[in-house]
Amino acid sequence: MREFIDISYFIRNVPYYLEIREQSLHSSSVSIMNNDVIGNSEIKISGISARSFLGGKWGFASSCQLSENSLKTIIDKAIGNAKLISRQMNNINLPSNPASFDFDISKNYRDDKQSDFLNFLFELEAYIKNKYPLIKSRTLNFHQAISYKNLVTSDGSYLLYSLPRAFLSLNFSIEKNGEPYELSDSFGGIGKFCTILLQKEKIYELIDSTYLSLIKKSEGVYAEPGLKELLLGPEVTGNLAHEAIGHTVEADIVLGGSIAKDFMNKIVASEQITLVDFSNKAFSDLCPVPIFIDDEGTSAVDVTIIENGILKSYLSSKQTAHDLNIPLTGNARANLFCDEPIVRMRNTAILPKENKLEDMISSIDDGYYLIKTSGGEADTNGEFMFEIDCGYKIKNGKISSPIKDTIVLGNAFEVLKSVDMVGDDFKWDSSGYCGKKQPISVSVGGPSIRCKAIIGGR
Amino acid sequence: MSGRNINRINKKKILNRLETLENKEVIIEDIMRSRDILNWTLEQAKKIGIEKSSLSFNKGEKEEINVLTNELSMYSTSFLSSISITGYIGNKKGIIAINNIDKQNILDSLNTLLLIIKTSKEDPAYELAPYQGTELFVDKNLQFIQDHMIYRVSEFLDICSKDYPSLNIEQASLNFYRSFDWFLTSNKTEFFSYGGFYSFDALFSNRLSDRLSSSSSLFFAKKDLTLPLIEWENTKSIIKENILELYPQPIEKKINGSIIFTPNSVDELLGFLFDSISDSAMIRGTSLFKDSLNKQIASNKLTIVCDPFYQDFVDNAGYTEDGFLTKSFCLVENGILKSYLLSFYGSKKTGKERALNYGSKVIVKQLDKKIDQIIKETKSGIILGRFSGSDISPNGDFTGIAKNSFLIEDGTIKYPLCETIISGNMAELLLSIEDISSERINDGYSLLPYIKTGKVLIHGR
Repeated sequence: MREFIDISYFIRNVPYYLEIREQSLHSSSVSIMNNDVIGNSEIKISGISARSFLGGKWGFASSCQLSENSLKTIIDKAIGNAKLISRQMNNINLPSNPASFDFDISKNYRDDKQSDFLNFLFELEAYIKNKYPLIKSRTLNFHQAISYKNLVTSDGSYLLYSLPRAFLSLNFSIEKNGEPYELSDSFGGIGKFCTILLQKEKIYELIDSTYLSLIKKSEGVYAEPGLKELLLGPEVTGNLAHEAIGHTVEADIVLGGSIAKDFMNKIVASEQITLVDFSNKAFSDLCPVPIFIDDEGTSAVDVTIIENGILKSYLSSKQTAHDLNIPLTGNARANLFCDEPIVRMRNTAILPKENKLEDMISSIDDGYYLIKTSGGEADTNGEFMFEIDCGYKIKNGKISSPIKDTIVLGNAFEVLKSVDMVGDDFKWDSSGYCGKKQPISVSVGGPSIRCKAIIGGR
Repeated sequence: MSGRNINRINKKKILNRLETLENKEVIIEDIMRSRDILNWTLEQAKKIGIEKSSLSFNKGEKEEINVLTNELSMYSTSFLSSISITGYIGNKKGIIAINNIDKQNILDSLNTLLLIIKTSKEDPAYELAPYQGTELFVDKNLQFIQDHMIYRVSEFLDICSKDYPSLNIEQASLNFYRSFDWFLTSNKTEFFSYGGFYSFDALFSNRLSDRLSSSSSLFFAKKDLTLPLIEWENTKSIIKENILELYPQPIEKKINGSIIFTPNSVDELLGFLFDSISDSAMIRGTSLFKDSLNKQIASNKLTIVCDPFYQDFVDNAGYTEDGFLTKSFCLVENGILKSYLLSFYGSKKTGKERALNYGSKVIVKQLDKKIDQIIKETKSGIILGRFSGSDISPNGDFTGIAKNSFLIEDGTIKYPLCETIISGNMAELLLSIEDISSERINDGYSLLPYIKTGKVLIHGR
């Protein structure tokens, strides 16, 4: 664990709520495209922030100067800023569930050199170039980011935290009948370069499967648009959990008028659906984005959002828990030192059941199997859209022709009510970032599910 | 904002430009101290074996007022700085970015940068921009009044609450960012800029008993707070349209109709063009327009100018990230592609000319008709407020949802749409532009009209 300045000294005996967070990020990135190095960089940013709550309003200040003088300045500024917009004299007592935790797994992984990252990409590049000459353009990227955090709060929380994450991503393009086709994928999670290197075989498998999917995609047909029976693969299910449901139950969005505001303890999904936002452990393993104490110092707990089809909980921060009179869940997260904590998801997943994928495919007479998504967005009224960049038609219980890029859409709760089969093939996907105000790492998970939703096409 | 050649940037030159600024003596000391450190950094880079280098330094202060659920929720101040160092040894290149500029940290970072560069591979296209002289870009009239920011946001909330009772402002923020920048290179190019601007963004919907509209958003940037926020560009009409969206209907039939991009959604159409003629697609060879210079790529009604010095834009960029002075130029003239948007690196990789700027400030030329007349002349189609859909394929194909959109039939806006999918091809839409409105919206970075084109497939369930 790296050395931090003693920030706890400044939090003693303050007559109002105050939190101080020192944070740094150290990232390395290398990219090659068709044997040329197009990216070769390192970023080191660090800073400190203070946030106070006075008269029902927040004041925040941050600085990239890591010194005691700078800290004193930003504490004064944070308090002054809250006073600037506060119209009431009486303070509001925020709910509190403080905890202390040391989590430093960064030291468990070996540090490698930038040259090792680049040499590995060139090794993969040579493999792709030799084996798949049809690929017209190959882009490979390795990115490693280690975040460090030191948090103290006036209600007694203390956190020291470091988390390394490493990802390899690839993008291939081919040309068919004069038209370009592209497909991307990524691989990684908690760890550093050495973690990726230990799983070389899986990376070669990913290269092979991405190429095959791209070739099939180039032979794809337009989906027939309309309301269809769909089999969503784990990656798409995970995104449904995060984008379409998760955001509607974030308590700041609920306060802002989300459709989920009226649904507490009501049926919002098929009884086959249980949806959980895990804090740090799931299925006995560490989650891809483990949060033990959130950035307000709240002890993080697992939140069962939907239990057997019934909406049970929202995701909260200190203020939203106070405003809605709901439990604290530890979902307040900030990306960088200069960002304030806001309500965010952590590891959001639909839980698996017992159905086998082959049985789910054979149960569909006329529909689509949607495997990969490159993202999507959701509305506070529950409407969602995902991009689908790999999928197949299902005809008479069998996988049929591949389809071109399309979208799937619908009202999240209506789609979840239509779920009648849930698979046993659970997978996490942690390569994405959630873009609500500040981009932040999250993971999404789920099994295959059978449901009805609208698919785009021609 | 002004720029002109001078022999050397010194304290007096900057002071003259900052004539109206409060605390200018304090600021100037910081500015000159930063340049001393940067010059020292260039010297140290050379000493350890980095043959050529460029430094991009930014130091600023950001003030932000946040609104959550119709109420002021937070006031924030951030003191930020960053330095990005690009180094070259022969034709090998590396970059390091840090935000702590004490000398020991810089020395450590330069040593890391040296290793990064050495690990790289020779690429003849990697080269430091040639000497560009020295230039000074200073926004003379920059004013920040903290109380005025709070007043404008409070006023906006009061007006919204009174005039639009069903309106629910989910989140909003008013920001002011002021900063100074240095760009220095080992071959003595020296650029300095000082400026700042306000930006306002909001996400909102309308709620009436059990009805909830789709969310709408707005974003504008301005040089000052002279006008109330509610008067900024088309804020009022976006709010009014969202109220109508409390009662959306799905489209009943499949139609092949016109699409009218609003200034808020026309980015989708132009973005496809810009992506296709920029470095990534051009170098990879996946651009549909890779051999289209001086050829018709759009209807002859379309003219696009990239002008980084347009007086009503904010954050004017006098120089590019790779160290060239920018100039205004016509990107598309009467539908003919007049330039690519290639950087120095992209230019060397493709053998095509570097652009005079890289397209961050865009003006689309307006035509004569008002948007109401264009709608009257539309037989069937939609007016697209926002596109929520897949990335546009390199060949131009797209599919997505028409959000914040309305159906047009026989020259009249019929009703707001829900669950409506549109599919088409952006390259074909560029060629089939039928009309461009006389009204334009300035979001601070672009000046965009309504653009009517077609045909696209529009359908519901």
